[in-house]
Amino acid sequence: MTNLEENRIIASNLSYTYPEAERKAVDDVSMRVKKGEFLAILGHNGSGKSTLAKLFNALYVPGEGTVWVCGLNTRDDDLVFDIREHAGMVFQNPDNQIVATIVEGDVAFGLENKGVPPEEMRVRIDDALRAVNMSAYAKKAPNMLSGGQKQRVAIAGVLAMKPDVIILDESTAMLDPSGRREVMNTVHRLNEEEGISIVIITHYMSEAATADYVIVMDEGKIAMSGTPREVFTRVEKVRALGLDVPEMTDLANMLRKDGVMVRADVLTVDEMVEEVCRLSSSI
Amino acid sequence: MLNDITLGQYYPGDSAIHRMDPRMKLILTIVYIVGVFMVGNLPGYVIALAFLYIVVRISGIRFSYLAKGVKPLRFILLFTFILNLFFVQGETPIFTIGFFTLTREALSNAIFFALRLVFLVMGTSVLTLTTSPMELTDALEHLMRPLGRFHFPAHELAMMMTIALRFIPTLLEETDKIQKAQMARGADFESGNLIDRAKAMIPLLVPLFVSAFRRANDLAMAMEARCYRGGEHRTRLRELRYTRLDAYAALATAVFLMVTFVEGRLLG
Amino acid sequence: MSIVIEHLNYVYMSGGPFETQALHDVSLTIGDGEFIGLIGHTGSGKSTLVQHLNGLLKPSSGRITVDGLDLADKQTDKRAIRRRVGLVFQYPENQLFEETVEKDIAFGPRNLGLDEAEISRRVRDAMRRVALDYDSLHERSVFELSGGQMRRVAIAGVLAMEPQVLVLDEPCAGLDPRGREEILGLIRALHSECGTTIVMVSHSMDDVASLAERVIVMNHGEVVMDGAPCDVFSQGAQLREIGLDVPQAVLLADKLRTRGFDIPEGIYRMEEIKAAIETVVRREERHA
Repeated sequence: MTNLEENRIIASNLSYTYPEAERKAVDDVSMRVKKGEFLAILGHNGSGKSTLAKLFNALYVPGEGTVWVCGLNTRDDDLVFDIREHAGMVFQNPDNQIVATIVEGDVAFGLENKGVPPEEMRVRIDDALRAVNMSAYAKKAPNMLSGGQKQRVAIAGVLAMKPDVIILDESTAMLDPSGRREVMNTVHRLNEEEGISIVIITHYMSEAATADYVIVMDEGKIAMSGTPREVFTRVEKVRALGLDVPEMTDLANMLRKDGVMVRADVLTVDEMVEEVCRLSSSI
Repeated sequence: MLNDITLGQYYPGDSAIHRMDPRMKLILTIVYIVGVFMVGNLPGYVIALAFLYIVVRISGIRFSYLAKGVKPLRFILLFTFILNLFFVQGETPIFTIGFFTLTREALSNAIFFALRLVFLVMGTSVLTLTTSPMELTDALEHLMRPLGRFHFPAHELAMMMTIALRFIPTLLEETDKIQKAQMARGADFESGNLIDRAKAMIPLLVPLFVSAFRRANDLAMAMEARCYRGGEHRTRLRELRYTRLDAYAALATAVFLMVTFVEGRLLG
Repeated sequence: MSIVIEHLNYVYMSGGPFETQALHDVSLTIGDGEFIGLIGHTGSGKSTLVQHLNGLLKPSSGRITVDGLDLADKQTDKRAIRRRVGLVFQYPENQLFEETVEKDIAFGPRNLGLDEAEISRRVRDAMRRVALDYDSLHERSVFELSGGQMRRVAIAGVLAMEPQVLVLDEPCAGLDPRGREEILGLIRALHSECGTTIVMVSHSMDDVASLAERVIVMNHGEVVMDGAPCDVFSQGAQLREIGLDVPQAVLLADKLRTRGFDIPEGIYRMEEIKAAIETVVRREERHA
């Protein structure tokens, strides 16, 4: 593949069928995750988006087609552990992915598996915990933490491996609004400051609206893709795929139907305020 | 009820006892308990108690906190005590009521047996109170490592212990939630005969197992995603290292053993 | 039928080192046919309060009566309470255990000691209310269903108790937008068609804004606000202070007001802000 430097993950004509399933969970998907990109994958339950994420981390091997993670083919058995270092994964249930009985022990888990020497491990763990603002909790038991804090520990565990891509598979689905905010702020900061590519799989349109690029999955295929503005402006189509649009985009759409011609691609409250100002002053 | 059990609960601190190598703590605890079991007279127990008291003082744990850990065992203690009174044959009767004769031997046996149990619980409590579960599993893994030559799965066992410890609070919480959810649907876990009650557990146990399996599945995938591939080539964040502290502790325990041994010879 | 709560206090792990007061002097009356949105951040005491409503937790002090029945009274039959007040926990699909959908939904009615004909009627009725097709699904294993279907089976299991008050703790947690819409739709229908009193715990201000007729806000185990949605949501600053959001419509209305637009007070629903914006823009058009 060309442009290995530019693309962290490349999937070409990727298909995957679960054992004993009739339908393909992922069906002929081609896409890529660019260096430093913040990508959101949307889709209703069973649309194939989580399966796709697991193919990126070599947890599943493609039925057809190929996935390259930082130039490494996930079909190659010898590369599996290298691939998982490059593309780290955070899962949905905060309780079911923490292995150790204290926070720093959990952050160490991946490094221990890799055989990193203890002195270096210490440095990496401290850095990772600092990056997710959890240094103060290094010696705490995970079950004393809130959902958002647990997920930040899970992110630190991935971060300590120095990944190029972090994939969050519905990692905010079980959190309350403040926990969701904590996790989203953390991954945005990692994306901006460390240049780590982020792939979030989510049901929350407001989270997808903050991404650089959005892919909408349906029946295992890519049904829509583009910038959040391009995707969400097509309100009817997004709805037909079992999803929502951000509240403000919905409002803009309703206003336009009534002849109040705000821009159709409004995503946030502030943008809506600007649009109302523009309309009422330009007249 | 679970809050009453000190056994297995870590009491965070930074005392000399806390800082000892967990392997040494584990070994010395075993040595101490063996020592206590060899004691055969009251002064010996006084020495054992004094030794334990000093260790507890150094650890910074309140002795009363430790003593509280024995409380849940009071019925077992009473039971073994009475059992010993009745079944130990002795030659020096103290008094007789009906067909029952209390002998001096039975009484001392019962007292010593109960004391041994108390020391056993308190000794292991000091270990678990000053050693985090993670250190403890580390120590077990290290100590069992030589057995690997005989294909003994030391790493796997230690990993299982860690995961069990990690998930016990989660599953307890879950049990409480499912129980309440079924009670909200009119389930009754409290009344009825034994069979009724066992039946009433089904709506609790089935969801609990389903959930435990789902968690296990999730966890396996999360571990795999984080490059887990068994114990080989694995390093540990906390390398265990014996220090001077451990040497002192070993020495102190050896002195304790010798004192009890000599005392046993002199008075026994 | 109403639920009256007077000076309710609840202390977790009383006496131990981890003692925490989860509820502090809560007094409330939940009237017949109300639709209440109960909000507050995690750990504010919402879930603890909710578990008192059907006697799952016993108050440390204070009094709760349901339909005149005192929950603390030993004479009060627990089942009489649970028949009146249904409680749907968070992620209720985790409580499913029977071999078939029908048997699972029948669990509650059977515990009430009803006869087979009545149980069967209730199962069919509950399934209809949660939009599950009886004929095609009643024999299916609950574990073969999709996440959204399992959630609805679990809710049906509580509905089959035919409670007059239905309490739901985060009924939409973890569902995708379509699943969320379905659940909210059925809750709305239960309230409007059957007159069931609803208490809905939710983190989504937008869901509460679109459904509830009364909003109760909890913080640190106390009720800090209680009133009509327009009154509660107009106190945006206080809500944010205790870590809560306001509905997007309220936020937009606030921001437009600070820009000098004439937006009526008390707006909290999307349709209302839409109408207000249209009025503002049209007025400008006429002036021009």
